[in-house]
Amino acid sequence: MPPESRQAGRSTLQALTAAAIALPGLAPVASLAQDSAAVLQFGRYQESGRDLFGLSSKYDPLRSDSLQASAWTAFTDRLKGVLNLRQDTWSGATPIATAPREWRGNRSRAADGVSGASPYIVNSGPLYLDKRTLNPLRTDGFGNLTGGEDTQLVHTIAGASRETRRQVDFDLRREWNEAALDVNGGVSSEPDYLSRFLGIGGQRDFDQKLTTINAGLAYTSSNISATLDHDAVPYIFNACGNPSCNFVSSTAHIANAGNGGKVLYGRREDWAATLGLTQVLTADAQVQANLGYTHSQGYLSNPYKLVTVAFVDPEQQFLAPSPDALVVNVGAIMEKRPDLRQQWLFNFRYAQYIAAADAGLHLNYAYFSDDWGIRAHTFEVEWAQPIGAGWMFTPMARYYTQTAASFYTPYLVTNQGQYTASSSGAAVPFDLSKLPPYYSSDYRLSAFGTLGGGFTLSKEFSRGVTAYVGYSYFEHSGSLKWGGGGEGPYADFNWWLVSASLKFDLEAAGTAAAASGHAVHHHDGGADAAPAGVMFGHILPAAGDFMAALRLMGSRQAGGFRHGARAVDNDAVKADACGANGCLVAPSWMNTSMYMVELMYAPVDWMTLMVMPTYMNMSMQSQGLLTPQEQAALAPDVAAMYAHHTSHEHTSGGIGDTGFYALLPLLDVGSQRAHVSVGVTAPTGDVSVKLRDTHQIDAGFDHYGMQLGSGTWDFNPSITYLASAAPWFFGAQASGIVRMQSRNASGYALGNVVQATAWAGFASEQGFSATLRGAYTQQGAIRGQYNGTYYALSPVDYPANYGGRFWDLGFGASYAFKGALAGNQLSLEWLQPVGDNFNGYQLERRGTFYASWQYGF
Amino acid sequence: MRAQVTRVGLAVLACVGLASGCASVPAWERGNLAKPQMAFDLNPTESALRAHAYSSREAAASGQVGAGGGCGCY
Repeated sequence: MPPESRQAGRSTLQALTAAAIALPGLAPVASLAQDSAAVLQFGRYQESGRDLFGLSSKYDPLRSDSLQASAWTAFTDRLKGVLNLRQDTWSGATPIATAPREWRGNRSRAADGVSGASPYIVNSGPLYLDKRTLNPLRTDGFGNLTGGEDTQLVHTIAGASRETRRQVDFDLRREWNEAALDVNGGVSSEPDYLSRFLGIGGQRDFDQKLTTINAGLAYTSSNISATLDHDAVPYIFNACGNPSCNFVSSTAHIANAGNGGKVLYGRREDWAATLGLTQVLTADAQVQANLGYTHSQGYLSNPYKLVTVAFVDPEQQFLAPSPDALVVNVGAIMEKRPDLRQQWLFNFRYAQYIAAADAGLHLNYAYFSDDWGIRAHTFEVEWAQPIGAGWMFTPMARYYTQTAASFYTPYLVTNQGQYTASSSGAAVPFDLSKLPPYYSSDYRLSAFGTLGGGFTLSKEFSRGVTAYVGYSYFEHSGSLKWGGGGEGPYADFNWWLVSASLKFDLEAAGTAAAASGHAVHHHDGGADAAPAGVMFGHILPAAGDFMAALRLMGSRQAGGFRHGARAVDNDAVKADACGANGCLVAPSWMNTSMYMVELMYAPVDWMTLMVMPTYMNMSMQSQGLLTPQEQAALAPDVAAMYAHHTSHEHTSGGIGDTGFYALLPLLDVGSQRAHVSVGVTAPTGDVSVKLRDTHQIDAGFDHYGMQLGSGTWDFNPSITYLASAAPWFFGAQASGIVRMQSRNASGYALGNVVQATAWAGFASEQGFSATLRGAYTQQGAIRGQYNGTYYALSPVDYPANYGGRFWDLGFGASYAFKGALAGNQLSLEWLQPVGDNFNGYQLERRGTFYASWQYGF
Repeated sequence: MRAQVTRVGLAVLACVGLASGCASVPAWERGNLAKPQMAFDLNPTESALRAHAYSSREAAASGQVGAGGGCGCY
């Protein structure tokens, strides 16, 4: 929760409208051809590991998947609005502290010593510093000096479970001839951080829009409720005995969570103001300058970052192995930053049109300064090159350099014992006032530079659709700091970012359809479309046709357990659902949602190709099934996992599997049509989602149902029949999923699926339609099982408790837009379970919701 | 701190001074400026994604008013 990431989820509306604002001399937003448009973007951020100097961390480096959807529309000529939805899901390793290598912060917990290094912050053996330099002395790892100093630092790396942040924000913009006013706001939510923000901005044009001045003010209020690392709690607290002596902020406190854990509650407020100027210089050049000020107050520290402390206890120095050495104890305390931060940012952008190449050259510079002692410079150059036929190639390069915060330190040394015995014999913790007032080892507050670059490639199709792909790569290194003196190579890493996005001009759909002479309903984008929950329900009629659809599926399991078709109570689940072992926990609910982007293109009349990337979200809450006596008898690791599962909701999410399909017409006679589809899904979804290590144990794989894909290459055939007798229409489909591999990389394969469904619908002249559908689905149990560590405590950890035979009734409604938005169609469907016959023991199904928005062009 | 502010303020003033000296470019001569390759934010969704990565890995703020919330504490 570093303050520097505070500005992270910037309002995309501003970005989206920035291009327009930046065009003085032309009516700002009117110059955007689309008054109604939508953007959908997938992104992946991937970081490299850190050099642990001879050890390999057991954790994968950090990765984050993001999904963003934006839509904007003009309510009137003068009133415009944007809505943005964004989510990020991340997992992987991150540095929690820094320490000399001699302190051996990353060690294997496993007895075999090869299972990968885990974080240890407290030391196990005696450690020594040189008395004069205070540098660590080299040892053999067993407390024996081996000669010389070892000044090498290393990060202590810890893993994290998947977490998801979701953000929704809006911007409303009122325009006048020479001015505009924006009001924006939103909410960002993640398990440990809730943020609400509101802003107002205005712009005024002068001199026939040669000059534009803009100003803005924004307020953000954030609440933090961070569950502290269970493994970190002992040393955070034992160092003192109560929260207040290790951790001092008037705007946060630490409380017991009731299950032995600790939660930090904090609050912060941010005010930000900007003042900007855009100026046309010549017919080929313009500049923009912005000044920004941010005032942040409250808990500005990161509750997951620690600072290691070497305690040089004067009473213990008789243990020193030589007169030149000091013997130390190592502990760790939570980092502490000031409760106030004031940041200044000056931004300068210059854009020059290069007539010879018909290109735009962009030079950007930013200077940053804050009262924590950080000064930063950013230099960026971009070249936007149209390359014909709607293509644009935009390479960029960027260099960033910053100085360290005044309170940044890799670790602390203090001349006192961690504990001293009081006169009564009680252990008295160290005196916090002997430490500096503020301290952080967060590498983001260190001195470093970042150098890298990337490109975006976009293609504007003739029918109102633009596709973008982006890639960028950056090296983060202390040696890249301007002027030298940056942090050591232990903190170096690199990262890359890839993205793919699609922009739709919603008003172009109808225009294009009309222009090309295609009757919109002939696409099945009309009122007689298949229900929202039916995939592969239509083909494109003519070569050159495109269609895009965004689909959402959300399903919920909750309530009681079933064994086959029969309801069973928790006692039966406990006794029988987990084989001979018995179940310790069971889910009380689970939600799964899936976003699908369906892109269809007909290269020839007789074939439609389809690509479908997906994005998954899962969340689950479990309940404990054991009595207090049974809990008390558990082995320590199992007890830890029991607490882990029952204490809080678990989530998972990210990019899922990607489908590639071909659809071929079989029959088109009068009012009857039929087609087949064949395809494969590629295992792009992660099937190695693991739980965060806890209580010093390797928690291993998460439940099967929390994995993001099948992990196998799957074959997906279907056959669909459609008929109409206006105003009625009918359809039927049989489909299947065949796993083409018997095991995925994690050792198992999901069961094959067969589904048969049929529907009848009524379409009104106004574009509305309603459908009633029946569906039968059969899915096999999971084959194989996890090939690595996992704790099988719950029915969902047993492969036999997956799949079954299911009957559902679907109620659908759909609307095919008219007028300016013709070509767009919105469909909704609720699938109500009417009969279940589960394999093994499973949680009752509550229903599935489908929504789809189709855009034919 | 104050010196920093003054310096930044002066830079802005200099820019305004520079701009006002650049006299008139009639609207009908601004066709090149209106081209997509001349937009200050060339690809807003991509730059939003990059800005998110920068701001979660670097101390300097991205400088957006009305900035979103959220931590993205990774």
